[in-house]
Amino acid sequence: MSKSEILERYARMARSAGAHVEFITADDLPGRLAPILFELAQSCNPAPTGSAWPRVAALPASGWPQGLRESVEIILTASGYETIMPRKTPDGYTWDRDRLAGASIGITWCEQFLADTGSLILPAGPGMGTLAALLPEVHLALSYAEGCRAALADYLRERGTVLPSRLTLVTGPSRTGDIECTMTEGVHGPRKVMHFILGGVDPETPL
Amino acid sequence: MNDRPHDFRQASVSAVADEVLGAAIRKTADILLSRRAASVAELEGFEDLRDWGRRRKLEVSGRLEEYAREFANRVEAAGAIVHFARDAAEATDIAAAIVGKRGVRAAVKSKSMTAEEISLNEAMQQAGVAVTETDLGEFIIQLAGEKPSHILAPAIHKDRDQVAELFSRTLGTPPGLDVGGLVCAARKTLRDRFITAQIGITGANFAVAETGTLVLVTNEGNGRMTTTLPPVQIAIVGIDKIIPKISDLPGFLTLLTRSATGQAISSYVTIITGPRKPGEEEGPEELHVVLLDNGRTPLACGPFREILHCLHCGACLNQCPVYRAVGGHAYQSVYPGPMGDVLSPLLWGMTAYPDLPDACTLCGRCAEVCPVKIPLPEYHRSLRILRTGDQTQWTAGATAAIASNPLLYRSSLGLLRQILAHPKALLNGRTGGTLEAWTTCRELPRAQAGPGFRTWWRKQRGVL
Repeated sequence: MSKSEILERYARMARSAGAHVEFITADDLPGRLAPILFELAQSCNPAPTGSAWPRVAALPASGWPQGLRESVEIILTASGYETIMPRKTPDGYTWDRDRLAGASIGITWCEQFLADTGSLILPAGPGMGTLAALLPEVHLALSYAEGCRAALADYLRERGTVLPSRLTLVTGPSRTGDIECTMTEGVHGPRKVMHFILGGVDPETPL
Repeated sequence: MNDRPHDFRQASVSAVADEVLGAAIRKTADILLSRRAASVAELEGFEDLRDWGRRRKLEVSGRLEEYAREFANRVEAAGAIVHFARDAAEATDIAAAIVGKRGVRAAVKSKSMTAEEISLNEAMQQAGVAVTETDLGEFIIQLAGEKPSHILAPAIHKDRDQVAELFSRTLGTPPGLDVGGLVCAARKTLRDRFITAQIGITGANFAVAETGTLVLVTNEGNGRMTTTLPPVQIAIVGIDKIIPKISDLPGFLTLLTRSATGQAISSYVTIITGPRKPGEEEGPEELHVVLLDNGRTPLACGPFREILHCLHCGACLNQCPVYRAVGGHAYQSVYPGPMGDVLSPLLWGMTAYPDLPDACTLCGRCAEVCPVKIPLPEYHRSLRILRTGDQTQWTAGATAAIASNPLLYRSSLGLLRQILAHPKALLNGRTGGTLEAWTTCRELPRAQAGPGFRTWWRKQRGVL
């Protein structure tokens, strides 16, 4: 498969699993992110209180490409959002869990993702903050198009047998069909998963 | 386990009469089956993958103890604590000791059939620990104090109104919530319990020997929460869950999720190798892996070895005409349906589950969908033979004797034609009820009107 075929397959599989996938350039990021943050702050929290979502965003502290986290933080601040991150201590990193649990959006860097199943790969590590992709209502992942791998087998081959303490594959939102087989999103994890792929051209958009 | 034999036949009578349960079971089964069929058809080489899966599982079940040792060594090398449990009592004692030492009062649990197998919740309760089931379906039936009706959708026998009433009574939610509202209410309640739980209890869908890795598959994300938030994790892992290498994982994941729900992959796959590492902000500081034998090693050496290959996908349940008629409750076991018919008597003894091998029409549909091609119909037949002794030899001998004697054959055919012409009049009341049990719900084939084949054939020969 060619690179664009692999990306095309990724987009198709991730979308069929319920994820929102967009191909943008790094310059587009503020223009695309700001409206999402605005809309989220306006939208109503379905539970527990029914009030508006708080303007709090959770970000991992490490693993970002040079300068990107800072760019995201600037957009967040400009949109009136408070940013929370794993805090560095002498023993390593630590989350303020109560504040994390109240965040409305988690924005994470996703180094690699899988075309075959439409999955994001989230490895654990100091400051990698994968809880930012789990506890908030919305998870937004950012990647470079180069991070796309054909299948889990390829990724694991590349990695070898040294695995992180936790390696999580995320494919679409958290969902359940446990009541009357009615598919419902957001039972424990994010109700919505969005993925912005930087530097790639949407294979579905004609050039 | 209860010492009294479980009476499937009796339990199935009331289960069949429960039309709400039956309709819910068949609806769920049909949805899952059609998703599986579409998903398997779309993937090239699924048949080859099933053969591959069976071969890899045969490799493990052929050297089970070796693989268990390798897995245990790797888990320890990754920084986790391994406990070997010969049986259910040892496993629950180990878990009780872990929670006792830390003074645990509240635990969250991600659905695990192996934990059910050893009745872990009851043991935790005795140790003074409140266990919250976090899979939504399991949470619902835990609140209701009921048993699961389907291994993938445990609360499918309850409709939204019943769940709304249950939540309103037990959680104090407003009455009449719709499905979205109910899910939100569960999210809020369970979120609090995740954050405050002192321990997370899980099973594992796969255990990788090469790397000492546990793999959990969920759609809701409760597996992820249970293994990331509490400071201690206990994983109850049957040694049958072992797969040899990390490179085997993609194939087995595909077999499992496509067979279970028709998904290319579940929403979340959590791949755990040891506890939280120094400097990390997430995951348990302490990871205990309880490796459970509970009769698996002897099974691996016996004629039913391949039942250990089961991935617990539930595809055989959805296909089974008996399961579709009675649902999960009537089996009175953690493991219902075709795989349970075989596994329950093998784990807990034929005297505990004497009639489960009869809960099968030998139609063979379970074997057609099994992702690792377990010969389930053969196993049902073998279990019947094991229980009642082999009666095939004398019936086959008698049939052969009749068929090889023309006079005997002709006269028995004539007799049979008479019986089939008036089955009930001739049979009922004369056979001590044995045949009545058959004829009350079945129609014998009608004898065809006319002279019969042999007379007709003689005439035809005359014409030719």
